[in-house]
Amino acid sequence: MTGALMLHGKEGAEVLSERIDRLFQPVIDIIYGHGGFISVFAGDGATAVFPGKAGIEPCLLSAWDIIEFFRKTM
Amino acid sequence: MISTKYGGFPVSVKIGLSFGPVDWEIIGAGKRKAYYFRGPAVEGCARAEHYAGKMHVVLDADMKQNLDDSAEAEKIEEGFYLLREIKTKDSQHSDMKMIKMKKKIVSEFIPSRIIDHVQKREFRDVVSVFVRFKGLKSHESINGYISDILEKTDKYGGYFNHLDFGDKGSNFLVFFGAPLSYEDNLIRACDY
Repeated sequence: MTGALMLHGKEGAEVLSERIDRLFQPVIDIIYGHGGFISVFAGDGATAVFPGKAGIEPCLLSAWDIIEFFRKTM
Repeated sequence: MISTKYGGFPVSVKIGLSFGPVDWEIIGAGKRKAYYFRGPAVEGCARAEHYAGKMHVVLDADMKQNLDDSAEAEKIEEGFYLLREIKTKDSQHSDMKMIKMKKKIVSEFIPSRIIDHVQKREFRDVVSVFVRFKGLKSHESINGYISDILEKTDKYGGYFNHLDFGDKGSNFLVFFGAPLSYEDNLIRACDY
């Protein structure tokens, strides 16, 4: 996607950046909304931490919600 | 698929989950600081993610052990399980609450010239420096080494992106040319 949009220069950068925001922001919202936080972004991935044993359920629900979100986007 | 005026692009996601200890430490003996998270759970989720196909959630054995009846997972490899179903799916998450950080604190981690930098969207050539290091296990030894690196990064005008202890081993990533760019990014990176 980056490669293809790079051919379109400034305008491509706008499009790419806007689409990345539109993918990442809901993921961030889901994680923080379930009481987790993102410890690191690396490339096209991120690591999220949900503290304690009480974090297991919100962590599972977040994972499920993220998959659902991508399914709707696809 | 996400569609743009320049065509459609397929997107997908893979998720790995683990359960266990995670250490959090702040490093930096000088004025520049950084932080890291590491531990069996950080490595475990990265390993589990490798077994995940597109749109799959994979749990490692430590996570699987801690599931109750509300989740169903099926073994796909020794020690790895595919999440099949969550039964009590009452997934009403609250609105995200972000803590507003004081600039004084943030500027210990990110140079203020970067905090104040207004980011324009553009494609730009950047020198990325990915360094993997071995043999430093204790927080003290990591702190000593990375403190030195942080100082040098500032000196050469680089941007210390992150320190990571995931599936790629102990590593850190530094950029020359983003968010702030100099005429001689390449030379700065080589000197560094």
